Amino acid sequence: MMEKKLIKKELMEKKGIHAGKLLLWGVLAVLAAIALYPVFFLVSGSVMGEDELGSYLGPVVSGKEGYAEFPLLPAYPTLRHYVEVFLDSPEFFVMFWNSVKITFGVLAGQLLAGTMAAWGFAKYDFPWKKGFFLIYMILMLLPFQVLMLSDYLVLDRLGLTDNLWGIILPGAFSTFPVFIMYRFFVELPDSLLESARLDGAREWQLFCYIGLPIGSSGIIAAMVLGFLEYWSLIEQPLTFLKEKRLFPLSIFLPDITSASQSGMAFAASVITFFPALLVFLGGQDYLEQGIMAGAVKE
Amino acid sequence: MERKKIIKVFGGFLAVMLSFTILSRAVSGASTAQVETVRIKTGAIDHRVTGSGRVEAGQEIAVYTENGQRVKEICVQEGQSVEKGELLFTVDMDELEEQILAAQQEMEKAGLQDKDAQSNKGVEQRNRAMAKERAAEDYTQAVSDGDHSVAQAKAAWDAAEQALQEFLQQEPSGAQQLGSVSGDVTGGDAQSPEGMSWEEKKAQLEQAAAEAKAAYETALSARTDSVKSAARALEDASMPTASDSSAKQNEITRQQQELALKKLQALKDAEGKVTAPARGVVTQIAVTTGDFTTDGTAMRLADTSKGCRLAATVDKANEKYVSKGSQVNIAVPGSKEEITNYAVSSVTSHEEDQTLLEITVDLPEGVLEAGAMAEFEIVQKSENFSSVIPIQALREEQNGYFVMVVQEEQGVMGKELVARRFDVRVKDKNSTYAALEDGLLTGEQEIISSSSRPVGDGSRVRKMEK
Repeated sequence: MMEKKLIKKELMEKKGIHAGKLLLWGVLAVLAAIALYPVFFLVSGSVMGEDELGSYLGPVVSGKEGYAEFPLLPAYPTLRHYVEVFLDSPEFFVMFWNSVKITFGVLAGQLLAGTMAAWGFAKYDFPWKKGFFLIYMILMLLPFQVLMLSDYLVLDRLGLTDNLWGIILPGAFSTFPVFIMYRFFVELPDSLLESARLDGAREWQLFCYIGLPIGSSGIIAAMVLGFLEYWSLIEQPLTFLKEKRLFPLSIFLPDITSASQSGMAFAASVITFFPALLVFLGGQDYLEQGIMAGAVKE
Repeated sequence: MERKKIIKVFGGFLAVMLSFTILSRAVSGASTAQVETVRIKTGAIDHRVTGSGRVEAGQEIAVYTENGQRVKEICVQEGQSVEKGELLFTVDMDELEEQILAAQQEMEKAGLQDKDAQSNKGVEQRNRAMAKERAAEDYTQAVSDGDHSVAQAKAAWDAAEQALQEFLQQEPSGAQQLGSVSGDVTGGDAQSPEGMSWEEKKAQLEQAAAEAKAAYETALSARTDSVKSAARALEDASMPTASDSSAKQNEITRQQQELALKKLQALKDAEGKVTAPARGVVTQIAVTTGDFTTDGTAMRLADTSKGCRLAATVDKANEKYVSKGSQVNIAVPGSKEEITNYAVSSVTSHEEDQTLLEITVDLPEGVLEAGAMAEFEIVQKSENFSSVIPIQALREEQNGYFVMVVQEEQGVMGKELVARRFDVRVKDKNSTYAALEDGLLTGEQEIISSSSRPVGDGSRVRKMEK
């Protein structure tokens, strides 16, 4: 906000501000349009007739000659695909609820375990604390593919492959939210906790009545980030789940590639997109704070 | 504020999704094809060819009567069934009696004519015998007469010759010399004491001998001629007469007339009534009341006493399953009774329609009435097959046959029943069952025999509750 105002002032002071401003706006608008095009594409495709989709997407999905093209607006808008998704495909809902289970399971786990872990790292001293935290950081940085095999072996031994818990449990104990929340808890002054202790507060009371309320923005930020991540989880379910009945939405969509089903895929995508959009809108501020927290150096 | 709203919207979204989850399951459950399944079993494929045909009489009988009878009354109608001996029609008795009388008179006339001819023939024969006798007598006479005259002429000639020789031995040598010079033309009259010269006498004798010789020759030829002519006359008289069969012909004519008369008499004895020669159905009436009968058939009966024949046509497509000797079951509409265990007696191509086959089944007497309609069923049993399914379970497509088998598969909705396509080859089939080649399907596989809606490969199905 500060920077914008400064730029604005500077621009105001310079001559030819209007031309420069317009140019900038133009460039930004073009970039924004390019960035937004897939979303628009998605929505318009979801209300486009099957024949129309077939003729536009033929080269991609059914091997026709030429290139796929896409008009901005459908010639004959229809809600058929939505009806199809909502009424004719119970599979979609099975997967939707699988996604909900995974996401909220993970978030609940993080809320329980992650907050405590972050609180512990932030407010208590114990041997090898720095070492443990370093391991946490390293685990956070490692991409999934690196741990895929060892994860699989562990889950297999625990009997958790082909089981939603095999996705939920590793997520619930993931290190990233701990790292985010740690940032918020650390900022809490130790003197406040000390005075509370002097007043006779127990350790769990400190966590519940002081830590959680003050760190709530950090917790919410971690939850929002977690939601976006686990709602669109692909690698873990693909790797650890074989039974189709356990598949989340994120795998359902790539399953539909034929021309006749592309309309349905668009509609399903829009529906999938909707909760993520809501979460983003609701947690926008916290999201920014969370990302900032992750970015600030210790 | 804004956040609370968003949380509410999110909650609402989840609620909507929940309701649609239930709704879509209901819709999908309702739209899932309900199927009935069968399993393969062993069995035979019976080929049943059915159709209907008409019962025809096995044989036709012609009823006829004497030619030229006036039909007085016809007592039956076409299509009527009659018992043996039942009255068919009567002829006019007056007309019949007249004809009998005429025939009798005709015969009498012929008899008289025959008698006349016989007596004529006797007279002629006697005449001929007499003529022959006479000719023979003539011949004998001619021979003996001839012989006699020839013998006389011969004797005369011999005497004349002898007289000449005797005279010649008496003559002098000179005269003899002279005589030998002058030949036998001159007679010897030189030494004749009666005054005639020897020469003259010799000439006279020579002349007599020559005359006697000529007479002899004449008699000989006369005899030959008369004998020859007598022999010819005899030959003529004894020549056989030309064969004469008129008597025999008359006899034959008489017999024929007698036969015809007998028939007329028989008709008269039957009081002019013509009856059915056997049990049957009148199929044609050729006579009309008041008209004369002709040489042709008066009535035609379909003989039912010797059984009937079921004639029917079947589609040529069934050719394989219909053959001579195939088992036939026959049912008559309106009757519960099944007539079984008869065999097809002939199978022929339909004369006009090449796509049809004509079959006939011979039926013994009393099984079915001629003219009745009957349904038939020809059954051909096959060998036993080990993979038999109802024909509804067999689906056909351009490339061949296939069946849909219900399989339990792991899907998004958990364990699902899914229809899967199996290509099969058909060994044999009829209208209700099909026998598949062995080894393509197992006894555990459930084959869809019927479904509430079309089922394709991969369609989700539900088993129909029984």
